[in-house]
Amino acid sequence: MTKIIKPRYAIDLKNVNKIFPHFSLTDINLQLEIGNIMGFIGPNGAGKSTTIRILMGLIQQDSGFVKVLNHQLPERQVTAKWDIGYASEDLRLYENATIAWHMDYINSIYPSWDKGYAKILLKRFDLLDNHPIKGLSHGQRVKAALLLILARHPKLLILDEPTTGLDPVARHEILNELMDVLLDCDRSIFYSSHNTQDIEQISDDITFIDKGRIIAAKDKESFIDSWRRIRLTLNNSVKLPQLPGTVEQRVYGHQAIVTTKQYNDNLAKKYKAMGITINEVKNMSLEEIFVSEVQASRLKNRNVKGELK
Amino acid sequence: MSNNQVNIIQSIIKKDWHFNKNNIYIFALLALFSIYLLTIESKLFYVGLVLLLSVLILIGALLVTTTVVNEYKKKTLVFIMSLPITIMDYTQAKLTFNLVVYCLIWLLLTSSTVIVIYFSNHLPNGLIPYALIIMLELMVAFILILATALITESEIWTIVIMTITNISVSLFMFLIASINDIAKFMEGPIAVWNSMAIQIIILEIISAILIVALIFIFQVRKKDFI
Amino acid sequence: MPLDPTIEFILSQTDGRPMYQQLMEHVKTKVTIGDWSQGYRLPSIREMAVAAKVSVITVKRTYQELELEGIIITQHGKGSFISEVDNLSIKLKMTEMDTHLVKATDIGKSIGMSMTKLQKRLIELQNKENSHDKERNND
Repeated sequence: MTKIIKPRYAIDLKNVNKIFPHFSLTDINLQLEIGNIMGFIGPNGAGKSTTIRILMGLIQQDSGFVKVLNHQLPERQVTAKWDIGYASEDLRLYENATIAWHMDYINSIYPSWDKGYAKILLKRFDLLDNHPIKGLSHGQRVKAALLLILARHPKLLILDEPTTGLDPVARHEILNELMDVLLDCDRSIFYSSHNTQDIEQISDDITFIDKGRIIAAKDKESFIDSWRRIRLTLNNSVKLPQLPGTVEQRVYGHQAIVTTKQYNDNLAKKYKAMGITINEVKNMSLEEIFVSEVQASRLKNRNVKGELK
Repeated sequence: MSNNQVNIIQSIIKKDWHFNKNNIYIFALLALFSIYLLTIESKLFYVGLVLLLSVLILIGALLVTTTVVNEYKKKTLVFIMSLPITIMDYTQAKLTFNLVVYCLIWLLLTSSTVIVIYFSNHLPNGLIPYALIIMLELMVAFILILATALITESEIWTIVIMTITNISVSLFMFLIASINDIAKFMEGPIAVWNSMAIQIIILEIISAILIVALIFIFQVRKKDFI
Repeated sequence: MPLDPTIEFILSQTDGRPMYQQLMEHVKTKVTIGDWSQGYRLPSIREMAVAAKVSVITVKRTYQELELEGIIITQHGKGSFISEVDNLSIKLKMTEMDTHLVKATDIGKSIGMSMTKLQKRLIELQNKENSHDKERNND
């Protein structure tokens, strides 16, 4: 009896390296489970687009293992791309053609094109299909590009900064539409941005990248759960200890602010046992966590380099 | 290659046709007009000659610019490459479209030039080998420009090669006309296909084939696209 | 797909609490005001995620926490339901009150107030509230 093993990951990267003259991706490990939404967050120039191009087979890794929708890349990029919907900040449609022409074109290629859904999307995105692309605003172009991929129901959406530079209304419309993808538990989204706000609400997993390296990757709830900013009062003569998980601590006279990435009830007890009063424990937003992760990672790298010298 | 791949290559070719057909029609009309001028026994013949050469050079530049250079300059290449195709599929689609369109216009112009020379009273038939050599050079130059655009993905390099090949057309005409074995029969009443003429023609055809092969070799080895 | 119109939730990004806590709050409110009564079948995790525009993992977390608190029960393969606990809405209100009271007691302790003093304080406050109400009613 054969048992069909359902693949677990929509994206699976192991030890992927790619060296360019002025930039390199180092040891990228990344797993997106089927049915999940991953936010891929990094500052500009961190390596987001390079990683995404590897996922699309547009760039080949120098070493490492790349599997997208269970297809080995770059060898089987064509098979993978049939089920991928890709939109990126630098993707442009044909200026002289209309949205309708593009819809017909995609329809002529993909059997999965859903005419009815395309019509609904046109309405929801407030687009007119007889408009040539060159007359459209940036937001309308992005929505048109997304319409072209959403209406064919791809198994995996790879979106490279799609909402960058959009007005809040257009951004909202797009995020709403992405939520609809989620109703189908076999579809996954990989979404890059340098803006955590876009991603925070809808992501299941968060991966931070900086300077070509993955600096942290976890499910979002764990991030939110484990990071805290704690305001403490140090009673006389008590020195602030460096507890495990502390990312940053600042002391101002009797007051101290500690940022930790390993918060739990025990930590609070430890401080109390040392005679330190906890005034406030605050959750951190994903943006604050992101900034702290990047700073901590850069500091660590500087220290490592310093030691080598 | 699977049916799907053939369909997609066809769809890219159809798309290029859709966006370029008007330009191609205009150039085809200009080509026909230049042939008409060639048949006139007056100074208009030279106008026709210049127009004929210009049509071939311009249609080549236009095809490469709109179907290859503009795809990456206007970033529609990202859109095309998001379709289920490889670099090779893309290369095949672009080569097929450009070569077919260019060759059709080239064949139209070359055959009519030969026919005009053959039947006209004011043009000696000895010109036919010379004319064919020049027409073939234009074809090789076009393939070289196409190869540069496909391989380098660079607008600047494409323009450099376009400029060089354009300048060398008149140099090439002068050079060929100064070869004794060609020059001495040009004014003659019959077309002389001596070994010099044949060698040059074969050399031109081999160059064309070699450049096309080079395109495939470079594209197969290419690891990073856009 | 038409969803139950009663599950249109709007969560706030600037609210200091994590999304799952906000969502828990929303569900509890539904229960206390009586929109969702005992045995009510909650939307599936994915439906809830779409309705609240949050990720699936956040809803999973919400449902887990709600289950831990005994507010919902999840039956494998059937879905999640509001617990068949008598007077659930009253119990929820009690729990909420308790958290406030514990907080108040903590603050009181930190400034050295005894329990008796705290109780007195509570009664004083209540009297004040009542007299305010009376004044308002007399107006």
